[in-house]
Amino acid sequence: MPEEGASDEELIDRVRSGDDRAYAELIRRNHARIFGLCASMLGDRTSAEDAAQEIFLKAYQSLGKFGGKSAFSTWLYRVASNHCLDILRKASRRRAESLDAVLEEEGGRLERLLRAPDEERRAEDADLVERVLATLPPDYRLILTLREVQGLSYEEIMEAMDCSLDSVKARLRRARESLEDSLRHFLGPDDVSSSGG
Amino acid sequence: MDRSDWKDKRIAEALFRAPKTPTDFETEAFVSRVMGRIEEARSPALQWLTGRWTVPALGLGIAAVFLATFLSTSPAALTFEGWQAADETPGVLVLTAEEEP
Repeated sequence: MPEEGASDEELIDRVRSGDDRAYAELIRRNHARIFGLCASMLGDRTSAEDAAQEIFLKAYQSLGKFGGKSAFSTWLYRVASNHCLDILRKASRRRAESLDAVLEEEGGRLERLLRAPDEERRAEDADLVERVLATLPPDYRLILTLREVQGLSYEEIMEAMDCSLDSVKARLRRARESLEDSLRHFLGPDDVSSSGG
Repeated sequence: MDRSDWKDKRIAEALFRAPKTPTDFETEAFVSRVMGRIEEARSPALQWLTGRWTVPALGLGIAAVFLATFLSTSPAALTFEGWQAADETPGVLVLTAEEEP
C-alpha cells in the first residue's frame, strides 16, 4: 500500500484532498498510543475503545486546525488528553471515594503491590490500581500517565497539555509529591535506606 | 538517584504500567469501525435514518394518525347537548335529538 511509506505530513495532505485511505493509515499508526492513553486514563478497555473512536473522529473533523508546527502524534495527544479530561471531570462529579478511604480499606493489598510490583500482581490488583488512580485530580492523572506510561518528553507534554515547560515541571512535581505523600506509609523507610540514597 | 525519584519509580511501576498493546487484528478492526463512522457522518440519507429525532418523530406521527382515526369513528349519537345535560343531571338517561322515543 502506498500509504505505508508516506510521512504523516504527506498523509494529512492526502486526507485534506479527500483520500480516506490516508486517514486509515494515520489511525493505524496512532491507534496503540491513543488507545493506551485512554485505557490508562479511564481504567477499562471498553471505555478506552469508545473514547479512542471519538478522538479519531474529532481529529478527522478538526484536521483543518492542525497547523503542522508539532508532530501529528503530539497534536493527537492533545485531542486525546482534552477528551479524556472531559470524561474524567464529568465522572469526578459523581465520584465520592477519597484516597484515604481506599487506603483504609485496601492498605494491605496496596502495600504488597507497592513493595513487589510485578506483572502478575498488576493484573490481580487492577481494580485496586484503578480505585487509587480514580482519586487523583484528572490533570494529575493525565500528566503522570503521559510521562510514566506514554513516556512523553517534557516538550511533548507541553504540546499535549498546551502549557509552558515550567508549568509541566511544576505540575509533574506536584502530582508526584501528592501521590508520594499519600502512599509514604505504604512504601516505608526500609525501602529507601536499602537503595543507598 | 535521590529518595524522591526512587519512590516515584516504585509508585510508577505499581500504578502506571502500560496497558496491553492492541494486536494488528484489533487495530484493523478499530480502523474499520472509525472509517465506518466517518462514512456515516458524511451520508445525509444515513443521517436522516439514524438521527436522534427519527424515532420520536415517527412515534408522534403514528400517534397523530391513531388519534385522527379514533376521532373520525366516534359514535354519531354523541352530541354536545347530550354531554352537557348528562353533566347537569347525573344518573338521568339523556336522549339526544337523534334518538327521540
